[in-house]
Amino acid sequence: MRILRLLVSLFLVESLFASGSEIELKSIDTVVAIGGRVHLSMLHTSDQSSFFAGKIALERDKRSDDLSVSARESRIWLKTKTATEYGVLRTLVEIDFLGVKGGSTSKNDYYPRLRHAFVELGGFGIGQTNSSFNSIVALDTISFPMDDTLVRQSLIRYTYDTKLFSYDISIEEPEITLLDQNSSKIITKDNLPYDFVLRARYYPLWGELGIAFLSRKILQENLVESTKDSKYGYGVNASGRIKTFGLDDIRFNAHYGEGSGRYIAYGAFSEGAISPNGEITLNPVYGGHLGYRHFWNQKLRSTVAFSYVAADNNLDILQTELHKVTKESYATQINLLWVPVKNLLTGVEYAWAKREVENGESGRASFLNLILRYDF
Amino acid sequence: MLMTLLFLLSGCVNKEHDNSRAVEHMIQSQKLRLLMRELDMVVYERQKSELDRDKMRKRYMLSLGETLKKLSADVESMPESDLGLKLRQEDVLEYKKYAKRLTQKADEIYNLAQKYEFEELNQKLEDVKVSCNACHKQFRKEP
Repeated sequence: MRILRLLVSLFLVESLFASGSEIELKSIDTVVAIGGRVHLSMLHTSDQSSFFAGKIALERDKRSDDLSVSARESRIWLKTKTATEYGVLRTLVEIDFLGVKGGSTSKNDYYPRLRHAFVELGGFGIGQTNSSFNSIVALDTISFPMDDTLVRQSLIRYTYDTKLFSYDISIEEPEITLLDQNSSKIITKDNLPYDFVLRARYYPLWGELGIAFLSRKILQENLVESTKDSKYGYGVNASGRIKTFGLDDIRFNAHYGEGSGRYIAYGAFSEGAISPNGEITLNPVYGGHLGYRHFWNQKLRSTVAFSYVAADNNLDILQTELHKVTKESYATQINLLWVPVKNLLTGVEYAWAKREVENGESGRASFLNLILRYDF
Repeated sequence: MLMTLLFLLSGCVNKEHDNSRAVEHMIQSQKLRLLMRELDMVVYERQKSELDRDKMRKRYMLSLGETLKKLSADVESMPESDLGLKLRQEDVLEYKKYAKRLTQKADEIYNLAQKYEFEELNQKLEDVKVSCNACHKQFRKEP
């Protein structure tokens, strides 16, 4: 991380005294930090699947092995901090290169994608960043668990921190996906009420724990001609880390929700289904993961993990193309990560996953992932 | 650098004269070691924004400051019998000065954490190391 200390020259009119005759000029001390990550990964898959709950290829779609090498997960960020009378004002803008892909046979033109654009002051935060509903602790793995609860979106958040606890309340960008009777995903345009999240985090000496509650309204208006319907959806997500011996720890996550589909497993599930007469029914979605991280020594560590995610889709509404609707996915991961020098991470991970869809078909895939990553 | 510091800190404990202060001193040293290693691991935490990581660093630094304070309290209240033979009055004063310096560094680390000034942490820990080193050289009783 390189720090550029911009000392000032930004003179602002801070205040007018009561006499009205004196203007106080104050300078601002802003610290700008630039950093990022160079990330190279080499992924071998047994059948060109992706290691996501909704993208494990079914037996019918099996293809040959595939090897891909990419630096798309590299990132750049810029953050600032400025002392103000309300506390430290902090901002962050971060991009990676997981945007739309150009031709991989020639130049590998990976386009930048906005990850974070966020500002925080006095407990308030505004912008795009990780949802408050996300897990507060993630597995120390290269690939993501099947039930990963990760959404980045626009939000307004207030956080109250104490020594051992943090409490968040936020309103977040609403997006709704529903399945129609042909199992096609429909994104409604009726996102009027914001998603609402409450979260509590606890930081004892023996680890960290978090629980988040999501409340949202799922609605459609004229998605099916001259119809209107709405339902209240909710979700609960608990996650944490419990220290065991030395730096070893157990990491876990558990999720249950109805109408919370888009918050889990990277779009593998929908919020619910819409019947031909416009009626919405919400899908229960549930899942979790459990992992153990062990340090072999200061520079070498491993994680072994299992994850599971599933949904109870409404088969009274979904009639055709059921092979497109994921019923459940589960996976195991095991890795060996090595830090030869500070901030340089390299390692290998083996993962195996299975997916089953609503017509009874399934698919299995195995993955071998090698990475080399340097955070600067 | 951190490991050297922790090794030096653990050396404050006189193993022949095991007493509650010395044991507490050792516990705090171990806690300090874990905190420092956890602080180094923050960069590898997945799915956190840089602002989230900085908040994690802040929490670890506050705990570091708190632990250092406890450590300095243990140092200050260490029985003179554990500090070596033939202590003169000025030696005792010098020893207290080292303890005070540790408290001062703990306060500085605490204040840096409040302002998210992480880039100065290594220098502060280096200062702690120098202080501990000097104290051990002068007062650590050989077994």
